[in-house]
Amino acid sequence: MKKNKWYITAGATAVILCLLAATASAGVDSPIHLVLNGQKTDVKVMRVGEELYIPLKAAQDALGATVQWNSQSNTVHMDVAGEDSLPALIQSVSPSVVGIIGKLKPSSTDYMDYGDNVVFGSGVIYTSSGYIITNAHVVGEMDYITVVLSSGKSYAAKLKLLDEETDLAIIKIDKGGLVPAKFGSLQEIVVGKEVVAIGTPMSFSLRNSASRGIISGINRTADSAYRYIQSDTSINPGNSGGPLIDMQGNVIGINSMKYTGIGVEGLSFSIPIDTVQYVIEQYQKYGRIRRPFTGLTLGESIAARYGLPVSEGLIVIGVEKDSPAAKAGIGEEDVLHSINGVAVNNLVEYNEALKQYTPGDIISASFKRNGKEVSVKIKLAEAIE
Amino acid sequence: MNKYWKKWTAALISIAVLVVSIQSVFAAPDDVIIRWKEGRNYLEVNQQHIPIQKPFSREGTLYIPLRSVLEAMGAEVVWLGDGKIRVDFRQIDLRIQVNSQEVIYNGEIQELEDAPRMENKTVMIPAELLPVYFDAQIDYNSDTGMYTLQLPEDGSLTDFSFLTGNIPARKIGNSYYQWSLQIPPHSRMLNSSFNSKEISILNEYQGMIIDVNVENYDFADITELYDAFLNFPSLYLGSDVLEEELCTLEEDGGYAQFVYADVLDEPVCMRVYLGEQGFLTVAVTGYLYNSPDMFFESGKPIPILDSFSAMYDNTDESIYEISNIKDGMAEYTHFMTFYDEVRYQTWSVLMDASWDMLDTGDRNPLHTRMGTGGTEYLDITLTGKKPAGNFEAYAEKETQKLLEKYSPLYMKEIAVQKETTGKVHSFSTQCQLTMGNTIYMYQIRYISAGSFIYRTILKVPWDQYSDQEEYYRKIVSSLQFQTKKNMQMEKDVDVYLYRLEKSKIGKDTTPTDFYSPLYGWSLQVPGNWVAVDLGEGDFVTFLDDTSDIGVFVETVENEAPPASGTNKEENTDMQMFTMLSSMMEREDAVLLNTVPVKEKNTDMTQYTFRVDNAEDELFSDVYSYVIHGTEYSYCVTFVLPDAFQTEKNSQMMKAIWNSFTWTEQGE
Repeated sequence: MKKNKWYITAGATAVILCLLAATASAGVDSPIHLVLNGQKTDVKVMRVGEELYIPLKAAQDALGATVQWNSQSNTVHMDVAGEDSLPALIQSVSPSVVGIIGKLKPSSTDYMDYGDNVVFGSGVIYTSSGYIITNAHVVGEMDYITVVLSSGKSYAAKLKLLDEETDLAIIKIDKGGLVPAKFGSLQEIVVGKEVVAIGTPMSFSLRNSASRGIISGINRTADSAYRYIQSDTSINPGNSGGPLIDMQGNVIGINSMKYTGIGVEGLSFSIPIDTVQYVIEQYQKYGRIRRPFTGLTLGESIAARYGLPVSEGLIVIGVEKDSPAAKAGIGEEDVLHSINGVAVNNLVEYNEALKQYTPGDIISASFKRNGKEVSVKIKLAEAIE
Repeated sequence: MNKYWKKWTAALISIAVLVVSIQSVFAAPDDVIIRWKEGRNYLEVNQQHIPIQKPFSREGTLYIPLRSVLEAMGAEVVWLGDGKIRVDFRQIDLRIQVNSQEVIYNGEIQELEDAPRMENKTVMIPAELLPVYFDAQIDYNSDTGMYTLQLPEDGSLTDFSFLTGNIPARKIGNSYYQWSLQIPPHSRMLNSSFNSKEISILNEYQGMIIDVNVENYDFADITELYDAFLNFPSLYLGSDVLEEELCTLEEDGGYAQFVYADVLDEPVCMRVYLGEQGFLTVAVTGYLYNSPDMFFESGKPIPILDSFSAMYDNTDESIYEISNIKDGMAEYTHFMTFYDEVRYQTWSVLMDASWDMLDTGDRNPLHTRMGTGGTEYLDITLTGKKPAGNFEAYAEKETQKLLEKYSPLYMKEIAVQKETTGKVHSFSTQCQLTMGNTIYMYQIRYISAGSFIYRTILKVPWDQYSDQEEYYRKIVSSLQFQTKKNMQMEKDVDVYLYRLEKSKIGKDTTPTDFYSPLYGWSLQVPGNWVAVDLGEGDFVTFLDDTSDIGVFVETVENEAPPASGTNKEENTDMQMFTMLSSMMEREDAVLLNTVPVKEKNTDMTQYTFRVDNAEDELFSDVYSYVIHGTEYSYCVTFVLPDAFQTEKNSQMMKAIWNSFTWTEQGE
């Protein structure tokens, strides 16, 4: 199968691009290093004749550029992200971003007897057949869920999955030929990287509802069970459920207004792409989230609660009767240190570690009991929602 | 109360959102075109290539891959196992079985000419299935061998009235309350009460709100109403700004007209008609106008008011029906609200639209009463979380606890019925209750639904119930309970019940001391009674919350020591005690006798009243003892309704009276 355009990915390139003419001579045999903004990189610089070459992939990474290889015309298109490329970037992503509008359920706390109770948010199309990912808090309390595409057309949507733990939901419209968003990877979520948050992309308001910022951290937030991307993009209520994209147009998170507070500025939170993919994969495989259950109630150390870096592990404060943990002989006051070698020092790390497994899997958990290391095998059960 | 402010501003805020979100429809070539070729391993979906299992022909039938093609159309395809597949597309639910010609189309069994089959682990369906069940159009180009599939409709929405509340007609009518009205174009529904008794329509373009309400004013006719409204505008219209010269009584037209500024100083033109089911008020508020006379003269409200008819007979087909009432019944959905913060949907019921009493638990969020009054009602109470163990045994025990308070002369158990519908189990006991001269059907029903136990009580005059048994059964059986587990609601119920339990004087029926530190009296009442202080310790009521039995202690500070030997009590007591004066004022009460008695070694006066009131459900003798001390005077009153006149209850009341002491009590 021959594709018209081919996106250059890691390790896939042999194409080299002339960057600069080298006048300085370098020893032919000793390796040449690229130092970028004062940082030494692993990029190997090649010397051919009088010119120095670096792999195209390195240019893409270093400059945040989009590189496309067109095999028919034998040309390489390289777009360097900058002020001017932003509108084009947003334009390219917007067909995958939808507005979600509906009415508050009468059982909702915010329902008003006088008022039309219309609420809205955003979502991201992830299959051409109409599956859309959004925030649970956008659609959880919504009746008549209606999706508005960037074309301006509206479709009735059905709620397929609601997962309050991750604050993600899946809805579906019965419409084909849609443009699914490109998903990035967890590796692309790097502090300092430029990102754009897009909200309800409704024709003229499109530009206004995009906001640019940088990734400030990959952190926990108050009360959340999983990790969040923290950025300084301004995320407004209408952006909830919309994508956080990198400068290549890859979705790296789903914006969530849920955990921002009054008096907090420049703190926006997005659900990282790996959590998004976890939810989508679970839904595709099982039609629901099959979350592993151990039966452990764990307590964080005080330092962990303040967000201090700790290595004290998690204290077992309860073990449910007949649960996998009980069957494995785990008792109160045991201290959990790691799961299959991954250190867990706070509850988010614990949940993130468990996210890698499905019910039925056997994990090896290491505990400290009376000062001694104990390794215990636990057969995960399924959490009942 | 800024009801109107809330009404239209809330609507305007959300309109801004709608304008942005919905009116920005511009054409886009986003129809789905799916193309394939026999023997070719990909689909073309709007020029994108999707790899597929190759389509093939067998015995003249073209087979195409089910999932790839239907998902490209936008359908959901779910593998149910054992060769069963569900296809969900817009309003269509199609069930397919591999190797079977039978399909289920929206619940109906139908037959295909050729069965779907498996090819390389892929379900292949005859292409003819798509035009038959999904209205798809397939064209074949014999030159290229290319098949092209298109859907005539892309399924997008054009009518957003479900979001905006837009009313699709100019003439609207409420056939239950028999009114009709012509409204300005582009009006939308702002609010409608569940029984369509109160309807608010908003028109942003004209800056008007039209309210049509059914009111149960206690006037004989329009003339009487007109006089009362003119004399007491603040009471009836919530306004002191009345344009008297614009207020008219049109006896021929059968209405009274009022022009005024409401509590928010917004101009209102209103007419009141006397309809079949009460007074009908139609009010037009012009929130963009500065004064009532300017609004009146703008020419906007009068044509609307003129179009109002209080005699709509539901025969005009051009009138858009706006009422929610079907066959005289309205669906009421109950939301339990704790401290105004959280609303939980708990149950819904089909209730007679004419029932005008609906007490949704302002005092007790767990309790709701609906009906016509104290002689005909349905009570629904959430009693608590489901206990462990057998539900029927629990329900029977609780029913007996309720019934044993009654005298068997007044309450007779007739029949017991057990029922299970889905996750809901019920245990109901039918009784005959006598109150005054009327016999009532009294049905106590315990229901286990989800995590909770509910109790319903249906009270209806026996004859009325016998005549319309089906009707009452229909109401009771229409009750639908929310059974989905809700941890937060369970917690809130627990907290509320805990506080309720805490408000009781003591535990169980154990006699518990109650002492008034302010006025120096004390008594002993059963621990499960509740004490309510209606004043500042000077009027304390003791109630048994599962019966209508009560004891009241009122204390008055003496202005001057009463002269000894005089017999002025009768007159002064009535003035002195609110309890006595309010009894004298009651139209349903008579003073049977006043006797001086010597009890507790003290001279006192005993007053005996008789109250007969079916609406308040009170048929009882009321005894008051008045004691004059040096510093304080006391009035201790006992209410033991006829229905609760048992030996046990009488003994209990006697024991309470015996336990009553006060500081200056004679030895």
